[in-house]
This record gives sequence, structure tokens and C-alpha cells, in this order.
Amino acid sequence: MEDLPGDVRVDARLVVEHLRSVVGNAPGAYPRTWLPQATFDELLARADREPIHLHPSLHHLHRHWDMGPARTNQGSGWGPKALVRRLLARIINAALDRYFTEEQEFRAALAQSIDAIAYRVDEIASADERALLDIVRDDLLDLARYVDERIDARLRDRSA
Amino acid sequence: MTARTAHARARVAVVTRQWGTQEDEAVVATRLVAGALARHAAVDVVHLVAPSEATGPVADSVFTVHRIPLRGARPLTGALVRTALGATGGQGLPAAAAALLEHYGGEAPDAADLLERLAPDAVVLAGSHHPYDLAVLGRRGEAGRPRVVALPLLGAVPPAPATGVRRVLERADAVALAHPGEGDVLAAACPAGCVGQLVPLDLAFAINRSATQSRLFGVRFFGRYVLLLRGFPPGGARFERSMTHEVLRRVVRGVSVAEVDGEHWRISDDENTLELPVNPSRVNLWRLMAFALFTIDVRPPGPVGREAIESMLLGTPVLVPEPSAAMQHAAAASGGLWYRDPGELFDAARALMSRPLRARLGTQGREYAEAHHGRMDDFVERVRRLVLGPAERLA
Repeated sequence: MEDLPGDVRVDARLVVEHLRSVVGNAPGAYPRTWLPQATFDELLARADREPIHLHPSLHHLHRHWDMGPARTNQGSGWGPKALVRRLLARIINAALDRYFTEEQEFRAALAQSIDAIAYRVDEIASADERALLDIVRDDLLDLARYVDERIDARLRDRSA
Repeated sequence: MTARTAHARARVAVVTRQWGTQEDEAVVATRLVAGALARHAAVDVVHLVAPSEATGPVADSVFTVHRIPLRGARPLTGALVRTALGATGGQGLPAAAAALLEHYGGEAPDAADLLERLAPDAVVLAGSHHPYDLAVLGRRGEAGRPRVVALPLLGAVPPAPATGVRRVLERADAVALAHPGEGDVLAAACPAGCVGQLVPLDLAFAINRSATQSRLFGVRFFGRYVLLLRGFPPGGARFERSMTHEVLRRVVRGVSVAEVDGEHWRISDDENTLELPVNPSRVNLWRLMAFALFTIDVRPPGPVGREAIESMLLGTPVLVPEPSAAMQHAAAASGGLWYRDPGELFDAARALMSRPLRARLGTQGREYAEAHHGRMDDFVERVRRLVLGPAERLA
């Protein structure tokens, strides 16, 4: 088509006939009346994703958000260092008790929120994948119909 | 019926089921013809309406519309039968289904009485469904009867023989053709010379060219694109098929695809997709068409092929389904290509990626569309001669 000469009029009928003859000379090269929806690659790419609620950072968050054990840990030993550390801890805990309580509540809320978001994202992703699977299923049904028709046509040709 | 004196303003009755404000192709064609006639005559529209709609006379623009009930009509059942049993777009129905549709169309016995009272000089029978006593129009060649012009709007697939098209054609002095292939369709529906004069109607469509000087908002970023028409006007029928935007984009590699799907318009390339934040209007469609490499129409074919004509008027080649009115225009103009199945669609889309072929088809399409569909005054005169004056005879 790139070598059309001068100002010669193009007859669209001839172009269409030419295109059909090219295909007609190579029958069965690929299905002519069925084509996939190009969703398979996308589906594979999406299906490859790990659910977010299984992510290691989320596990780390769940393991470390609670400051309670650290605050109540009295430590061990009766040496001068251990006594001073215990005394300092008691003073700091007493002075910053309100702050630590608020911090603890904040971390709990944060962990709960991130957890809820992660589960929600995973739910949405699953729905998305289900929708894609529906599309693929329709494509496969389409293909099955196409193959069925081809077989019927071939059988008709043979019996004719 | 009695003919009017030569000095009085002529009176024309347009009888149709297709009237209203919707952008349905049959409605648009009927309104265009009635509007052209209104320049020279008083136009009464006899609108056959389903029983649930209001009846009686009403003023609509320059027309007096007489709404006549279609008794026993079951439009929903009819639409279901058409969709379930028809091929593409409900065309190509088996004969039994076509007979059922006639039945579900209802009857309008009051239309004959009204025509008798109106005593028009000419009658335009728009559409193929006229379920009333057509004897009121007299026989072809009978003295004193009004001139009868049929505007069957059959599309590109011959109707089943059992339909009432033949009754309409047998009464008509002339038949207006909405596309170049409709003569063959009529011959199949009504063989042995029962059709009167065949006159190409060549509907004219006004294009707002100044509106197409600038690209549609948002598309500049995507560079060159092809236009995929999946649903237009909004609310109309869509063509559900496995052919998708994504597959097409792989075929026209390196070029974006703009898709018009009713209210949802979008454009995408290999990386980005943009929902076009625009009003889904015809002017915006022209803006998209004017800068597209070519227009692909995958909608159920209509009886006129309006968007194919408009695309050619804008110099953009078309890729349209076969059979369809749009394909007949594209073939007559050599202004585009056509396809029978998705495989052919992609082959043709690949072929249209050739710049010289595209340029040639675009130029030829524009020349044809401007000559046949671009001049409203010529169209008005054509309709006047067809309905009120001696009609041109098709060679």
C-alpha cells in the first residue's frame, strides 16, 4: 500500500478484495471470527501479586506495635547498674506515663487501620481477579463455540 | 381525497412511527425530509405511537404532529424478538420472526381516516411499518390521488418477504433511497417491478467545520489516534463483541485508540488511559473524527450510515461493517474499507495504517460526501422535486 502511484484513484472494492484474497490464500492461519480479549497477559501479571496482608512489614508491625511489655519489664539483677536502671525507668515511666499511654493507643490504632486497609485492598484485588476470570471464561466459551462451528462445518463439507 | 388548487400552499402528510427528538437514524432521516418539505409546503406529521403514549394533535416546531395510537402494539416484546432472533443489529430476521414483529407492531386504523380528512397533495410513507388501510391512498397512476413517496429506510439487508414492505412499495409512485445499495434491497423485497421510481435521497448533514478546527480536549497528549465508534449517540445500541480497544491497539501499534462508547469516551496508548472529560455531543464527535487517522464503526448498522458520511465529510476514511448502509456509502465513495468479521476488521485496520492509502481514501470520501451529502440547499430542492414536483428517474 505504500507504493500507490501518483494521483490514481483507489478503488476501495479492489482493496477489500485484495485483503480477502491474501487471507483466502492462507486459510487457517489464525481464527478469523474469534479473537481473544487480550486479557490473559494482564491476568497473569495481576495474579502474580502476593496478598498485601501477608507482607513481612505488616507482620513486623503486628509484632512490635505494643509497648506494654517494654514498659512493665522490671529488668533483672541486683547490682548497682541494674538498680540505677530500674530507678531511672521508674522515674521516666512516671514522668512520661501520659505520653506513653497516648503513644500506645496511637500505635494500636495505626496497626488496626493498616491491617484493615490491607485486607480491604486484598478483597478488591480478588474481586478484580474474579472479574478478569469471568472475562477469560467468556473468551474460552467463545473459543469453544468457534471450534464447535469449525468442526461442524468440516463435517458438513466431508458429507457433502 | 381531493387535490388542492394550484395556487394554495401544498400540503404534505408524513406518516411514520419514527418521530421525536431522539438521534435515532430513522428519526433523523424522517425529520430531515419533513424539514426540507416544510420550506415549500405545510407539513402534517402522522405519528403512529404505542398505546402508552399520549395521542392527539400537537405542535412540534414547524410541523403539526397528529399522534395516532398503534392498537395492540407490543414494542418491548417486538424488540426482544428482534434482538433474540436477528443477526447483527436485529437485521436478517427469519420470515417467521418478521411476521411476529408485524403482529407486535400493532394496527393504526385511525391513520386512514386522518389521511382522508387531511386530504394532502402528497404523502410520504417513512419506514416500512404502515398497518392501516393503504387503499385510502389510491392506486399508482389513479387520477386525483395524492403523490405517494416511500422512504422505507430498510438498511442493507433485505427484509423477510412476509413483512408489509411490499404493500407500501406497491402504493408508492416513487421510493427514496437512503443509501446507494437500497435499490437492490428493495428489488429483493419486492421483485417483478412492483417498485415505482427509485430516487437517491442523498440526505444532507450539516457539519460545523469551525468546531473541528481544534482537537478535542485531552487528546493532544496521545498524538496520532484511530477512532473506535462503539456506541453513539449515547443511549443507543452497543455492539458487544470480543473485539476490544486493547486488541485494536496492538494491531495499530504505536498509535493511540480513542473510543466512543455512549457516555464514556476514552483514549489510550501503550501506557496511559484518559477518560475524556467531555460532553458526549455530536460536535465533540466531529472534533475526534476530524483528527483521527480513520474511523472504525463497530455499532449495529443503521438505515442511513450517518456517522460514516460525517467522517468522510471531514476527510477521515471509514472502516465499517458489511452489510450496512455505511458500507454502501464507503464503496460508492471509495472513501473507506469494510469488514465481515473481526479478522477482516484488523486486516483492514492494518492496511489503513498506510499513509498514501489513507490520504487517497480520505480525499475521495470527502469529494463524494461533499457532492452528495454536504449541500443542504440541493437536498431541499431534491426533496421538493421528489415529493411535490416531477421526480428524477434513476437510470
